[in-house]
Amino acid sequence: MDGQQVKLWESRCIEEFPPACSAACPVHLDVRGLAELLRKGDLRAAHAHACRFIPFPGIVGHLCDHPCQSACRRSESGDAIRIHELERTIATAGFNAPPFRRGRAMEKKRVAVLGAGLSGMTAAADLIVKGHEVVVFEANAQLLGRLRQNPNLPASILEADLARFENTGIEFRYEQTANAATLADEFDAVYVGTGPAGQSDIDIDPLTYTTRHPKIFAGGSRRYGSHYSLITSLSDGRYAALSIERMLQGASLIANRDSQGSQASRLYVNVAVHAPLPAVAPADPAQGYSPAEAQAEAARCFPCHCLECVQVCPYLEHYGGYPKRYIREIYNNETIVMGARKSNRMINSCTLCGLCAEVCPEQLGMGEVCLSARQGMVAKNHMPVSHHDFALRDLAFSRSKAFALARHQPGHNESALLFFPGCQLSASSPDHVARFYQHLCAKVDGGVGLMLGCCGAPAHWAARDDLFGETRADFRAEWERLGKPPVITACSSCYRMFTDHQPDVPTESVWTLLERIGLPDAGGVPSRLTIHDPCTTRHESAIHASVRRIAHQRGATIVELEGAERTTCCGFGGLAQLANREVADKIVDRRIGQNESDHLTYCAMCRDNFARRGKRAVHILDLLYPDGDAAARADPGFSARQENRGRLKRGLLRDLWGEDVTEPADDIELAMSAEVQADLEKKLILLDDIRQTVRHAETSGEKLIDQKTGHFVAQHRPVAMTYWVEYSLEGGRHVVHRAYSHRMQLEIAP
Amino acid sequence: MSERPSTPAPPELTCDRCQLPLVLGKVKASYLGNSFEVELSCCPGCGFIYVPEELALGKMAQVEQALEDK
Amino acid sequence: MSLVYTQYQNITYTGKRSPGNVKTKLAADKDGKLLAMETNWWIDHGPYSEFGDLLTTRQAQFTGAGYDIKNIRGLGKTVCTNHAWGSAFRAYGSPQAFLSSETAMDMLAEKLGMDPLELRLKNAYRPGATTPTGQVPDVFVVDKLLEMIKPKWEEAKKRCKAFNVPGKKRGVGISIGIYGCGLDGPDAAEAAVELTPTGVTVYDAWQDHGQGADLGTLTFAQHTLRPLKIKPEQIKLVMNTTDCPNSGPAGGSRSNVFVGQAIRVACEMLLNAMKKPDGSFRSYAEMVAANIPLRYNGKWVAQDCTAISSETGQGNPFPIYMYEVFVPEVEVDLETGKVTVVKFTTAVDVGTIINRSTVDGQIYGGLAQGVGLALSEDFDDLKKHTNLLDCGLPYPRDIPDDMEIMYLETPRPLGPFGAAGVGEAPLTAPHPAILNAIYNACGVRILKVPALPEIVKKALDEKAAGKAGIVPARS
Repeated sequence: MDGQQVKLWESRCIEEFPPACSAACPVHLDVRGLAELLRKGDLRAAHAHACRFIPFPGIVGHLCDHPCQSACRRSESGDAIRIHELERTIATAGFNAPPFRRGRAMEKKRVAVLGAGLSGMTAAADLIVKGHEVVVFEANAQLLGRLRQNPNLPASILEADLARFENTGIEFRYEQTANAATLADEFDAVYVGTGPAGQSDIDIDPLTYTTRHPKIFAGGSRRYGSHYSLITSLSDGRYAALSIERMLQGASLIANRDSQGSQASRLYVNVAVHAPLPAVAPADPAQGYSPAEAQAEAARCFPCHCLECVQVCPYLEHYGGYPKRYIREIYNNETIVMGARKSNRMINSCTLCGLCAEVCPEQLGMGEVCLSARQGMVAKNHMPVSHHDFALRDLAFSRSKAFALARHQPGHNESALLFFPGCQLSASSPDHVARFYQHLCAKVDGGVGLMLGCCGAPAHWAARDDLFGETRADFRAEWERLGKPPVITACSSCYRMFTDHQPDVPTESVWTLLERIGLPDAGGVPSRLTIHDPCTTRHESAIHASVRRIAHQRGATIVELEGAERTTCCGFGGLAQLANREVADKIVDRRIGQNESDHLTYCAMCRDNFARRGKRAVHILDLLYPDGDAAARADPGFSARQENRGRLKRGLLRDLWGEDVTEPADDIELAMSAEVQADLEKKLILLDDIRQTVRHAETSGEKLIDQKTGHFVAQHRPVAMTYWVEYSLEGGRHVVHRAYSHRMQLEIAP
Repeated sequence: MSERPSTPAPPELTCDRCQLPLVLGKVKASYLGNSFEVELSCCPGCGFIYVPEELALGKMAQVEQALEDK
Repeated sequence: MSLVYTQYQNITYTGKRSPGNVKTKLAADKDGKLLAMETNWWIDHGPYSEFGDLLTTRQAQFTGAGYDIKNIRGLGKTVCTNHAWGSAFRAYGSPQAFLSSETAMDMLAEKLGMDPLELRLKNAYRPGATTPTGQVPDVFVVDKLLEMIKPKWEEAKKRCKAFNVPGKKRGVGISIGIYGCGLDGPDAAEAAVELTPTGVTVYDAWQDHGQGADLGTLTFAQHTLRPLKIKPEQIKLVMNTTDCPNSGPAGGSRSNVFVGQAIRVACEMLLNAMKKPDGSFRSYAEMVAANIPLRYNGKWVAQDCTAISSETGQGNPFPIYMYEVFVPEVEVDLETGKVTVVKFTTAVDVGTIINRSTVDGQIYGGLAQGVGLALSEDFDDLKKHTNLLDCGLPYPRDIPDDMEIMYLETPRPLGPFGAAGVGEAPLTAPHPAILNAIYNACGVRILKVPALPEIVKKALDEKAAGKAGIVPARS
């Protein structure tokens, strides 16, 4: 993975941006965090939290001009959270703010602060925490003089805030006016926060609070005149102190200050999903909120988060984070020098379906990230072999003579079109494929060629670019031999592979073609079906429309979910189902739980996965060739999928091309209970693996016998897996009691 | 996959070819170029090594995954 | 190519042990049986995160290690700061953990009115116990080590009590320290051996920074090849060149175990290839004549191991552990607060000892570093701490000549010929024992290192003024 690309991806996940309230607060008080504590009724923790951000929690709690509240996104659905009232509740709850603790500076510097107003005192507090020597010069006899005249601020509150400054080591010099330039000779830095009455001829840089004198910084109410904002004035002291600290350390004054001060936030919040709620009205407006009222008001906070993708994707939800964190983990997984690569399975559990990019305000797609990570894993030979081995062996089967076929229509020497039904539809509904091919032959002039094989999707998803290339080369050789006819795909994944990776191959979905050439003859049966568009057709609106019209012609009333562009994966995409069954099941379960009606789809894998998890579902071909209760059809399972493909090829050769093809005789006849069969499916063990193992045991005699039950225990390692089968012989049949496998190789130690 | 002796195979399991009961023996297990010795039930006659399902799907699968992620 | 640093560069460019703040809360019944432990910690890893997560999980592995504690909960955080960058240092992560839990054990013993050794003995790992990560210990030796050192402990207590010099006090402290051998999870190493006309050549990449990699390689090879009656001088070593297989890093006290095992495996493969049906061995010429390969690559992997989960802290991270009990005696100058370690007794179990002098050397060196860690070493200020003196490295005079090592040799089931590693054991927990000894001497409880004279003095003064005399971990 390219580090720069990783940073770009990370920058597009906006979940870590602050909520609007914090961004609007000049000192970025964590209002969302406060609301979460208050919602729990933990006033004490909320007070402690506020004290970490604000040197004067009491004063701010009473007098803040609260720009946060105007920014509150709750105002778009009801009233803004009354943040200022909440702050006041916190301020008057009777907790003592912790005193400032003088830090340890590597090199102590002396800083003078002119004016003990809010900005000056904030600067003094921040600098003493950093460990410097601080001397405050105040013209009057008291600190915070002007605030003492404010009738809305009880004196006790002001004194409680000032108690934080006791014994900190800050030296206060009262009734002393001083000249900043003179002080600059004596001190390492000077902050001028002398209020509206102070010198007004200073140029202050709004970002760094520097003046023309390199050691003098200035800010505070002098800058605002009639637009005075208490919290902004306070923030001047904070950011000026930051500049002073940087100047004393010789650090850049301007670097990394983008988030300084009141600003808008990039955090996206889907306000529409929250029902409007009015603000809680305090029983006694003069007293403000009681703790219980504050709790109720805080509970109105959404709180603001983006998480748009996490909410729609069980995979992103499963790992407990959000893309920004995942991207970092995935990058670390690739770059780790020593130790376990803990994110391998997470990377291989993404279906690559693209829904996250669809809902993301920044169009960030985790599929792109995960596929890139998989490519890196393969390139560095770090891809766990077990995650994709089964799928790649299935791909090898589809490329083998057992399934692969490319021919012109019987009686033709050329093809006007080439039908590519794909491996999974052939695996799921071989009879439909055969009938449908004959329908195409009947309706299309000039001959319809047929190609059985693999589009390469599993290799692409497994990031096996070598294998993907070989598979495409297989296709191209045959396609060219057949005269490069336009390709008609029945599977949306094949369609995607051809259009994305072989753009010079003219490709069309069979469903749009079907509308032009006409449907097979059959009566429509009225039905009510929820349409599920395969994730690989997400943006193919022509296909979406054709399928809907075809279904309508067959008497179906279509129920829409969130619309085709927001469709989900069935869990098979990206080979997620093979790398992480648990996550894939969560994905399909959420989809089928969205409503009660039968699902209609046009991807065989989607249909079979729905069926596997107990949902009644039909493929669009079931509407074209109605035959009983198609929605009740079970998932054929992986063993039958391969057998169906082989049977389809042999049947077509026999029936259409008139070849003498015999079905292979089974030397080993297997029998097993439904439980055992389901268990084998889960363990990705094919009946053919079982047959091979039993055959090996019976011919070699290598097997164990259980003297109690008479069962045999056999093992066989055809290539990279050892299969174990426990079976018994009953009436000439081999009854399978259990089977399992492992990858580790064993031999007697020398 | 502990190098400490694993649970021996049930005594009723015997080698069909050699007609011998299984005994614990040293076995070299290898995966992805890593190999190590374990003790498993084997036929003393032909060297047939027995792996019970609990071991294959439990500890063995765990070690396979740890080595794949290494 | 070589990269040679000046002392200034050496000190300022290389990473340092990361500071940690580890809070331990122990629960016990009135008889001293530990019931639960709660921990809360952060690791200050400086500005770079590499291995910061691993160091953070070390606290979950070793805080409270050595004792059977059925209920543990804890939360650890790695924090990023502008302090010196943190990297691996001898016994990586365990000194932070043991400083907390071994001090807590002392405080608990006092609360219970129990002898600190007895409290430890009561709770030591015994069959049925697991480590804090839920792993079954490789061997059960903590109780045996405590029993072994007990007579020395009793003598030391008497000696310190009887010590009577005005202005000075003596005290004895105890702690236990444990550390794993290996990198977390299924760590592996490779080595190769080749039969030559004159003997054998052993190839490995066991890096040596003074611990005796050549001696280790030679010993394991010669011992495994004893059926050939081969002499040490017939064994040629080719080490740490590009011809050598990957033996992994020299860290985590792993080399003796992992490279040792890889050498054993390679040598056994050679023996096997040389064996004739009659049990005798083929000569070099016979091997060549029979066209049998002469070079064998041995690999050994800790296949049983899994890195601990960052959520639960559970797992089996290491195949082998090292165990040590520390009993230092200190003298505190009540006027200046200066602490001197006057005697150091330790009981060690690092499995079968492969080379006694090498192991002795590792222990002596570790204890010496422990004295520095406890009393003087500090690296904080990148501008000030730029030479060995300013970093507080102890002088020879600060290290006691009176060091006594007691060995318990419990063979490790997964170690080569029963051996564990040794390097990091002596720097796991010498410092809490020294701080416990300071408390025993003069009643001030220091909760951070180094216990500089001014820190001890301030605590003594506070205690004299009727205050607690505790130096907290953070001030």
